[in-house]
Amino acid sequence: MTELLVVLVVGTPVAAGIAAWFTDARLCPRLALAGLGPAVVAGIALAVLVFVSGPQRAFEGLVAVDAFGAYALLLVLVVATIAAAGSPAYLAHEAAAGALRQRDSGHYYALLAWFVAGLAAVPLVDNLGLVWVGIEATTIVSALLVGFRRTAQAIEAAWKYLILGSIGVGFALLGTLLVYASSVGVLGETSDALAWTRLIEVAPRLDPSFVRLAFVFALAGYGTKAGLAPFHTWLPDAHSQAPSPISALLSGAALAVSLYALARFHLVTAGTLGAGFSATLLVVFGLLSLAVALPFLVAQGDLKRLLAYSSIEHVGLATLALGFGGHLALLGFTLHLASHGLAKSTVFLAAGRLVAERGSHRIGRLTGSLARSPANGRALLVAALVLAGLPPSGIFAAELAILFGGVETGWTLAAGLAALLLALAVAGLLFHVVRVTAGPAGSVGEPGVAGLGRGPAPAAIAHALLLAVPLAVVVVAGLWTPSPVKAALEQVVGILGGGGG
Amino acid sequence: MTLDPRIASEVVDACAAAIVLVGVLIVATRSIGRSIWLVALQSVFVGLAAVATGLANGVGHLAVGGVLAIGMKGVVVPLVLGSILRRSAVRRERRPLLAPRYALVLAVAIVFVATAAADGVAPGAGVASSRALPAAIAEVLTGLLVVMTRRKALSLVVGLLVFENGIALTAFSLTYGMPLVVELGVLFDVLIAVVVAWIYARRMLDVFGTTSTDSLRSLRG
Repeated sequence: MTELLVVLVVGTPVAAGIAAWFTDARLCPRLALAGLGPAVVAGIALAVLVFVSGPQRAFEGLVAVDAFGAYALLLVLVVATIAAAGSPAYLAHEAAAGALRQRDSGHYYALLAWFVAGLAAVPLVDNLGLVWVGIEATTIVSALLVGFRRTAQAIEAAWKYLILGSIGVGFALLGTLLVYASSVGVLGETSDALAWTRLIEVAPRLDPSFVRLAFVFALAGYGTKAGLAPFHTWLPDAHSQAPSPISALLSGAALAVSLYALARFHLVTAGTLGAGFSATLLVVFGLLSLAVALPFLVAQGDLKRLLAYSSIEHVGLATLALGFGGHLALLGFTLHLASHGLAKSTVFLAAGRLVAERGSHRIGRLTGSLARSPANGRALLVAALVLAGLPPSGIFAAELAILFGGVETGWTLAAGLAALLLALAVAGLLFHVVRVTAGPAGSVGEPGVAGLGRGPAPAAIAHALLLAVPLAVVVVAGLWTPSPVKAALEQVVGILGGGGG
Repeated sequence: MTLDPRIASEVVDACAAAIVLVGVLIVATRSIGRSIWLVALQSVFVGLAAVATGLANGVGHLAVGGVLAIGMKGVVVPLVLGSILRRSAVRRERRPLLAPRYALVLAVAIVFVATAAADGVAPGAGVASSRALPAAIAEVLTGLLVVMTRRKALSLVVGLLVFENGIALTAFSLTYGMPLVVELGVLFDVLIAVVVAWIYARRMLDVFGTTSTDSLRSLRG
């Protein structure tokens, strides 16, 4: 059963991608759906199975899914659904603008499907080496997507992403190697020596000097992929230049998957060295990311870069929460991961439409969005309020939990600093988003492209729903959590080391 | 098929020395074509060292991984890079961020630092050579040096490959490499990364008319 579900989750998008690569523009959206649909259904089934009847193993231990893995998998698949649903409109706009070559949309859907397959595979494998292989594979595939538009700026962003990403992930490979070196004496020369389920069991017996070094390299490596300062420099370029549905996947899912890998390393390291060493590093780099993102949120002229810096801020917050530890902060971390993923992927889709209608990323050129394009303007405004951490929303609840959790576990100064930085970031984010949304409609940019945001009625309604549903979920999550969801969150928190609360 | 451990140890030592020497030569040259073939040569030495270690200690997957690495990084990757070089007008690093004569000083300093740093680390029991770990650390740093000081797209890829060679050498100087399934994944990823870099270098040629990353300066703030 588990075997079948795993094959469906990873295999069908890979196969659909291969098919989409070779087909023409009309067929490929259906092919991509044919691949992603079963994967999403199977992923949800797998997650439910894990939450109801405990961790699942398959393929002779190569695959192991616990509650944390299932949670990450669900997040990836939900964000992938949002991104895939936003893709036809994006490609239609590019085609109308004459920017697409003949086979481009086939390649787009193929790469999208492979990107999702890679992201979904990472939380399933029980091997830190294969986690690395999966994350590096997503880097390479998404680098092709970042440069999809072939403009000079997109090529620049993709190149930086490819080179910096490869070096960063190279450090993560060094970290993985060092873990292997620390465990090979305990677990023997098999792939068991990289299995995180086994590593956590034997963590107290691992060689501490290797583990310490391994965590430093893993933090630099997966920190680069997660967009932690000071390794974040590629992120605003890549997230702003990528096609908007891809930005949604990068910000909503890829960052979360990198944090997932980092969290696994943190758990092993804490088991060997005690929580202090890795927790302190996580808190320091989390705070640094909050601080580095702030000036760019305040003095920003580009809407998509604004959202990208907001992602750096939120990754910093999540890292901080991991470092704080304790039941409350980890509950915040768990809630934050999903809320941010949903809100950020939606806001990138809305922003992408606004940018497409206007033909510019510049905030100054985008004013009056509410009047010109009500659905997208409203979504942008609501999502910005949510992302700024205003109540009621899942992010607000998560931020409160993280900050109070930090105080509870003795990180009072760090929590205070974080609260200050978050409050200042609210001002920056909202100032710019209000500039974009308020004001008179003005004239619509390029003539041929005008009105695409509204489109024919059914498509417009579908688009509005696509934006409204995830945002509604995030808002409601701040007010009410159904008890099965609460139980699932508690299971994740238990794995992250905050059990018993 | 096995190999006398003493011979294997000497082979690995010789390979480690050659790897470090080639690394210094890569820093010293301005010719991009030469650096591509030098890094291919370096990859062959890394693969040979892996094969020797694997055979001497009866670690079959390490030997297999070494042979595959020689084929992939010693032959396929340089052919891919060579094909883009032939289309490009840029053949030399004319104005690197740091002139080779200064970079050379750094490269030699790196070798000393790496030797000193590796001193404290006890290699895993039975690993053939004590020269491999310093060489590995030196190549990781040399790769970073190349990436940070060069401007041309292909030079950056060469730097990445030197960095990768350093990591591969670390892998079997600390342990007997990684499990085969991981090694295969890593090799595959490296190959695809080079192919993607090749695609982007071609697009740069189309859009900017050059593969110099000087033109990549518009995204700020």
